Amino acid sequence: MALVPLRLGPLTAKGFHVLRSGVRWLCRDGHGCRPGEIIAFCNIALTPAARDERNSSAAQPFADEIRDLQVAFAATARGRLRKSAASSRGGFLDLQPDHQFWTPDFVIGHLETASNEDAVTDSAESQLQLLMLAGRRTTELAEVRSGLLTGWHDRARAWWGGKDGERGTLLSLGICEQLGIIRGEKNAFLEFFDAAEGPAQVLFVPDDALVPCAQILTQQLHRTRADQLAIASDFVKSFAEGKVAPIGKGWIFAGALLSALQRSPLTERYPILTREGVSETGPANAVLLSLNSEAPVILRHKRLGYCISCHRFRMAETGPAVRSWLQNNFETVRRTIDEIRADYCRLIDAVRAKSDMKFLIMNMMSTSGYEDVYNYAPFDEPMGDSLASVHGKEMNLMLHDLAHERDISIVDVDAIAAELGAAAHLPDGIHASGQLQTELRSEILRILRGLGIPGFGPR
Amino acid sequence: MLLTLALPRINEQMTTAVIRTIYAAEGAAMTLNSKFLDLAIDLSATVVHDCPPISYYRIGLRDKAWLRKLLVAPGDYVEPGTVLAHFSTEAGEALEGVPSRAMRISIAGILNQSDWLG
Repeated sequence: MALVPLRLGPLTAKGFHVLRSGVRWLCRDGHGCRPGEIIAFCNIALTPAARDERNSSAAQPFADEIRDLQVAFAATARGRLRKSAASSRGGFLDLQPDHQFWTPDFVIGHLETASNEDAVTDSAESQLQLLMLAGRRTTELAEVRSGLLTGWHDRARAWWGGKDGERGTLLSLGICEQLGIIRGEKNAFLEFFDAAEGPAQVLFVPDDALVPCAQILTQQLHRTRADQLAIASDFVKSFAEGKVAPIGKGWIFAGALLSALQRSPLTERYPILTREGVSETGPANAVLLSLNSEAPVILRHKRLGYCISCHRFRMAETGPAVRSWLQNNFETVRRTIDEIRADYCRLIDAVRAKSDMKFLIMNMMSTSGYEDVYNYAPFDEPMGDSLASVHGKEMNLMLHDLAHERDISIVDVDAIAAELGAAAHLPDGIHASGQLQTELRSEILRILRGLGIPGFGPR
Repeated sequence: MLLTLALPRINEQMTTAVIRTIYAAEGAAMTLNSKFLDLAIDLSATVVHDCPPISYYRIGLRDKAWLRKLLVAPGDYVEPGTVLAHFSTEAGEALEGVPSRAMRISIAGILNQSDWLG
């Protein structure tokens, strides 16, 4: 038996000290580890090395994410875990990242391996793999440090901190159907990184307040600072002068919506911390969209002309003030499938005028095992306006046309779910089982590899 | 001949359905393949959660019959097996007695038709 030390290894950022919390373990002492398995994590922070820069927020590369910046540790060998008693001090010392310096030689534990050498081994295997995680809080009030990437984030991301080579970035920008596929069962991208080898970065932008349909994404791309101020000013005026005063959750929804309207996820750049230091990357090499984001109806502001799309269940829960604001200030825009295709074309053309971003779009489930239609007489023309299966098929066909016109890749949820059995694995047509999410994750990785996006190689 | 229409178990995991729209009134002559009602099935009906998995369905009729008794109204929550309506193949037929068979129906998934700003 040999003991392999689990050493932090270097993590540096020029001009900064890297600080960390104590280690929080994700498995028990004695756990049988496999290479690449995430076994523990800690919170980290970067503080300016020079004293006079400590109060300079401009110098902070992770200014938007510094409170939820984490490093997860992956084992590099197979073996039985033996934790170091010095790895964790518990309590706030394991939550707050400002209690100790990151020291490359610190050993968080050991792996007992099956080697015949009865000695402590110190090799490349002893340096932990680092999976970096960062969450941009929707509000700093959403402080939830209970685990890996916990909290309410309007953007969450992860990347390997030590892999060499060209980095590829995938941006997940759909509805909730993408959540489990991208962030996995533990909500921290672990399954995605377990399935891919290479210096990848994966981002997830949720649809909490604003559903990212093509027209809204295009508007976000073109929105000027003056446009943003006009929208913000209208928010203030509308809620201040509205007949119904917003309650707390109404303000929170409005704030999250305003914040989303003022961002453009497709053009964002990202600081990256690796063992070699801080660099910047972005915009993403590939974006994953959902055809299910394209509701037949969206809302358009009557005066300012900007569009929003929100999940109905969210709108229903925001309270009377937000509902009144929506009813009085917005009009419904019913879109044909051709108009949705035109929205996609405008979005893709606008993005590709500035970058070579690849588009992957998840199609829709277009059949249901619960149906038994013998005759279409009970349905008014056009049937795509009322029958879900006809609507789904027409939308999927549109996506095929778009693939020919604009060279996008289709993630064929329709076929994969049907093959697995949609009644068991996609009972409402949107929310998939773990097995289906795994299949869709594999399909997305297969497409990324086919497109030559770096960083997502097979394990 | 008396016919009865009970809510089928449209989805294996459903506990209830909500009647949303009824397209006929008692006494109406229902033609073959006429639309009868729309309903919603919320798979999270017993526990509130984010992004509720709600599906919408339309029940159409595959028998020509008279709608004699309507036992539900829009907004009603009904469990699978609940009798929704009684029909007869003749207009003035007495409603006493055991129905001869179930109404033949078709079921189709539909899009949510409600007003977005309603």
